[in-house]
Amino acid sequence: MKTKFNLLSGLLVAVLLHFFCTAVFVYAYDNVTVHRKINKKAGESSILGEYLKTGLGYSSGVQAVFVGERAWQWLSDGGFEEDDPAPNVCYHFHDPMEELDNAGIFQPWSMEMTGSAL
Amino acid sequence: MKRLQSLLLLVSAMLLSGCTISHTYGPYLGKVVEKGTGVPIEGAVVFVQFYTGAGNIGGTSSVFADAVETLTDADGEFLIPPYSITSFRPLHGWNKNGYAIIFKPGYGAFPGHRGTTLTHPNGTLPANEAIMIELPKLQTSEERRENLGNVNYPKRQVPCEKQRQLLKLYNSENLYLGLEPVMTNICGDVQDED
Repeated sequence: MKTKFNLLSGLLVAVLLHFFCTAVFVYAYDNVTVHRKINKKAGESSILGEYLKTGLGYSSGVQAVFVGERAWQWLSDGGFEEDDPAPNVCYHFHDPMEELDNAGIFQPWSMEMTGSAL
Repeated sequence: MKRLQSLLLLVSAMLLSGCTISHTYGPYLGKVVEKGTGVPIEGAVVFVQFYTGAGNIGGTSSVFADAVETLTDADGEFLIPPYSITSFRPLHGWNKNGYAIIFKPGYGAFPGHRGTTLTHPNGTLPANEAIMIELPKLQTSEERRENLGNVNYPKRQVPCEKQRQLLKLYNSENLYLGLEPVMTNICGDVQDED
């Protein structure tokens, strides 16, 4: 029984090592393009553009320029910069609809957050 | 005591020298043509960005390091010679990919526009390999307006002189579409520079 357990453990370690050692690059993690695209798409799909037009009077919506950059570009750049410095990666899913204590600002999302962003 | 100080200085120098990283990218070469007709596109900007990366629990996170740009010639061809970068980035390594944006007003931008040929993931260019990139001609102002979103890179982090050609073309498209130009607060009006 013990031999069988050891064999299975060894096999599991070998499989994990194989994945760790052969993985080169995962594009889903890539903040250069993927994070940027996710944030841009989220901004375009949300009510942001409509709110900028009807609520705040910016007729070009998400194409409106604020401090030299378009609204969608600010969101996109935020996605790009979110991982740096490294601890920021734990705070990806800030939920502005939650109270501050539970909005993912003070606790890493993976530990405490239960808000609608998850 | 003096010996200890010298030793500490030497160890510090050795540790810090390990934080200075260098890499040579490219060369990148290829041809940009109109999709469907194969007509060479002259004057398209080929802008390549380089990043360093540091591992964290969410994967590798990239930070902008440098960029280089050039324009296609009358045959639609471009060449970016080998480009060496040295940077002081503790705990970082080079992201070995060069990320390209190819843009000319009136054409779908590479790599964001769906009509462009996407031969490599996320707009990464292969080094030392002649590539052919097709850009679709855009028919309507609405298409051109949507296409602006495909020129998506960290503009505020790139020094103005490194993105001069791209900003010039990008803002000329903005003005053509009746939109406000971008980055004028940092780089000024690049239209007026020539």
